[in-house]
Amino acid sequence: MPDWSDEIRRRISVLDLAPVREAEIVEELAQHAEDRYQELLAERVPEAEAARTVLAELVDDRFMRDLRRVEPAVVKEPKTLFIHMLVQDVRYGMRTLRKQPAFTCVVVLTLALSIGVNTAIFSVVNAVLLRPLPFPQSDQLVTVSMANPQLGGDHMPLSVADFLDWRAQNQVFQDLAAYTDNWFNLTGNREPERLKGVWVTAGFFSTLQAKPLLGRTFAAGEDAANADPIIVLSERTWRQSFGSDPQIVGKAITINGRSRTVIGVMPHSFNFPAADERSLPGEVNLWILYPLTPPTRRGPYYLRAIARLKPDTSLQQAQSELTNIAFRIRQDNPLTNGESTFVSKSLKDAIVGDVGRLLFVLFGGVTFVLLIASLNVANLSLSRAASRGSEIAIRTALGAGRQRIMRQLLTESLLLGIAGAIGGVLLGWWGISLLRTMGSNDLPRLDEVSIDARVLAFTALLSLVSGLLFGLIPAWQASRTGLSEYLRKAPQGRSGGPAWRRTRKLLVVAEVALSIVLLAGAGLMLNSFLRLKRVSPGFAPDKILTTEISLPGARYKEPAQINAFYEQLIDRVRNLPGVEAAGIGMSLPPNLLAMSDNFTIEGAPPGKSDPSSPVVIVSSGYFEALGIPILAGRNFAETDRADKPRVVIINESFAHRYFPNESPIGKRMKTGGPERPKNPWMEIVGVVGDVKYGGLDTAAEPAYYEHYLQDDWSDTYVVVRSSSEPRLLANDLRQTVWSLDKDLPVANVHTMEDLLSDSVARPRFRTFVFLVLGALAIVLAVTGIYGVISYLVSQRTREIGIRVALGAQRRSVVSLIIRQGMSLALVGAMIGLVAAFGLTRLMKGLLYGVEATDPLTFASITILLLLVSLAACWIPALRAAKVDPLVALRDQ
Amino acid sequence: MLEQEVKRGSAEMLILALVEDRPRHGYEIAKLIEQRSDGVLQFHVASLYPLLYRLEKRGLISGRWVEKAGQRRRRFYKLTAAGQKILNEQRQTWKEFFAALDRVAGINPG
Repeated sequence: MPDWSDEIRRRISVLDLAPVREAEIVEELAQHAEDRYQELLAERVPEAEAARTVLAELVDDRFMRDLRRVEPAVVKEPKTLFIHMLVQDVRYGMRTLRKQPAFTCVVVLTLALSIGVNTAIFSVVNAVLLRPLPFPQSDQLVTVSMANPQLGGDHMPLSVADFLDWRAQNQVFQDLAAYTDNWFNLTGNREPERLKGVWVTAGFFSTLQAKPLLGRTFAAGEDAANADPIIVLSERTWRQSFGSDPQIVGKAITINGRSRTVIGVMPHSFNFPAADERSLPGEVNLWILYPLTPPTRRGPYYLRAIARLKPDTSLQQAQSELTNIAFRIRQDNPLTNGESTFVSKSLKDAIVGDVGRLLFVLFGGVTFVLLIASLNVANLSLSRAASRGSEIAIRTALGAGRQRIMRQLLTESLLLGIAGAIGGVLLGWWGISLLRTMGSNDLPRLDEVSIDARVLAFTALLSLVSGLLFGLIPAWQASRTGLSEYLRKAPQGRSGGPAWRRTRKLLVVAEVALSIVLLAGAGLMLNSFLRLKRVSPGFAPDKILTTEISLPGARYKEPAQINAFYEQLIDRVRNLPGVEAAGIGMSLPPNLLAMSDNFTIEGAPPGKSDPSSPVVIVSSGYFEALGIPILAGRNFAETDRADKPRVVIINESFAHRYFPNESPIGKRMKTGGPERPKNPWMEIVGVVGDVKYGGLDTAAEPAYYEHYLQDDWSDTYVVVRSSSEPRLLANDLRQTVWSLDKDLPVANVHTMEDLLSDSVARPRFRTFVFLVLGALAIVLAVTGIYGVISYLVSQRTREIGIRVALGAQRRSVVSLIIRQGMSLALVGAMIGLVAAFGLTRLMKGLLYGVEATDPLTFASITILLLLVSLAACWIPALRAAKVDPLVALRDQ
Repeated sequence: MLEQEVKRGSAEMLILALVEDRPRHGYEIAKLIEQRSDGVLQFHVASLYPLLYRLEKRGLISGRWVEKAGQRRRRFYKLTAAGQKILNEQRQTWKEFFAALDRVAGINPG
């Protein structure tokens, strides 16, 4: 049953009657209409015809004029009049949109998708770049690290000696601290657990001004060499591993075989240092006081440092003091500290790192998606506005000003924008949880990402802007239609004239251009990622199983104990069925580097030493298990024991850098640098192939290897090469370890392929996000093209009919339409390529092995877009070919 | 042309007359006019209601919402005292007019 009230209300709304009066009139007329309708039905008039009759009798121009004379328009205050009209527009708009569910759904969905990705990315930008760190006065916090221009590094870790010297000479910082993370074994609790913990100096918590949830944190001076073994737990560890024990403060727990007292618990919101590419993955479970024993030499270098500036001290002042301190240290230690100096950076910048660039590019990408979506919706709105020509024409005739009509149409657009924004917030929220699971290694501060007031304001702004963007063009066009002009046009012309066509074509060209830019970005990321994956790691990564072992210091104090354990372990693992080779090493390629240290080459002039170079303590089976080739000399042997002459193996890069014109075999070097003259000389007995320890996207650097029986290290990776599927060995491996020590957790059992995959998790994540955006862009652009071509076909039906009637082949009709569509796509593509050329330069820092203007990528995405556009033109073209000339010509 | 003018001129009186003996609602009025004139005079929504509202505004009829059990409420119009007076005057005027027409052109309204 037709809705008379709606129809009547819609028609008389233009008269601006008082709401109560209008409602009365609507009710009365609606009843009359209903009675008339029933009367006609009783006379056996078909429903549709009856409805048409009633509608025709309902409201016409004369009625409106007569009613106008009788009923006064309500004269209100300008303010209330505005609100009144706004409310009317909103109600009317909602009704109209409800009546066209297909259009409304498509538009809302398109907007929701594009606003959604914008919301998600902006939330990340908000949390990572805009919000301050969650510490009191966080702008005072800085990081301090070492820089050595000779080696090209500028975030290098400090040594204990560096830290102590700095602390002693510091004038500009009110507090400072150093830390380094490690794995720790918790035993004596329910079951042995492996926890990530951080060694911290006493000033750690006071520098950050972080308050504990329970108990207290470390106080100044507690990190002396004979310090009490005290420890602070994280809230999650307290709850999960200790069952939220209310007596936890003061309790003694066993970490790495030693008893330590819990003095406090940090709340869940505190997770410093958060995992990044230079730390162990995961949340921090405990903070353990690091007793600073006075060092006997400058190295090794493994500490990271933070500090809090004194109030009214600038970063520049701090930096100049640090430079001076470094200078003094260099003067006192010319041989080790060479060219190195201290650098400080605001903590926020250090945490955010170069993610800023990535986010900027991503933000640009989602803005493009929103623009494309808005253009698409504008196109849809244009065709819809064109088909409402009659309604608009009548309203104009009845006195609705052009502004009024524009406002009405804009209100509808804004309603759509708001609906899209609501959907967008929901999608954005979902997108954020997706980002959190996928991007946890890549984006810092991801746990702080949420939809807060600023994000909501941003979303609201977006919906307003996009609503205006896609509403303005059709509204402006539509309001220009006059009734007589409308009636004069042929039915085909009633869905738009040449101005409409031009606008729609322009919109599509713009869409295609924007899509090309976005696709170029996605294509470059994909190319870069694929290249990264193809990088040779320097060894054969298949069929390798790895795991981590960390021997607790309490039970493995003596080197003899450590060596005995590993010797037996290697022997037993080697004899497992299915094992081809097995070894241990303290670092693993591609990016699990444990340590760097100084070294001296015999005979080299002083000053030519590297303060630090990766050093890996391994067993002989390490090279074999990983498949690292021995290029010269020999491998380690079981005879290279502690009581025998010390030996060392170097890698190819080391040989090239330090022995460029001679064979290194037989030459000698020592670790610890020139300040440890008592360190034994080691003879170079072999050269092995390079592997990367700093990540696949870095160049292999010089590194040297020591034999585990000559230089012990308690935390190692076990590497096993299997003759078949490596995962099958996992259980046997665990059992073998436990057969030697049942309290040893066997953690992180991974295949090498898994580790390689993890090492590219960051670029994979970025590429994924870009591909999603690129896919969105293609879908939107293609639907845009399809829509416009279909529309243009419908406009040219008559012309096509004539052509066919005059003997044109179906084929030529198809090619005519396709030519029309593809010319739009081509123009858009060319504009897009020019724009992409300029814009992709911004992505330079994110790409590996690919130029930002890589011609192959640009060509591929252009071809892709053109092919897809071709498909989009095909269907309307086929439809055009099926046009029956008789039908087409008859249609007046 | 003449029909239109005649219709318009007499419309007021028709309505006033129909609500003279009892209150009626709009649809009823329209139907009665059609029936009693054997289809010669027809009022659709568009022509009827502005007229009703004008009469109501001039105080010749008064409208009231009446709600009956089980039905939607309807607006009933009844003749006011002023309306009765105008109706009588108009009846008189038309009578004299037709009498004059008859005398001149020989039509028999009887």
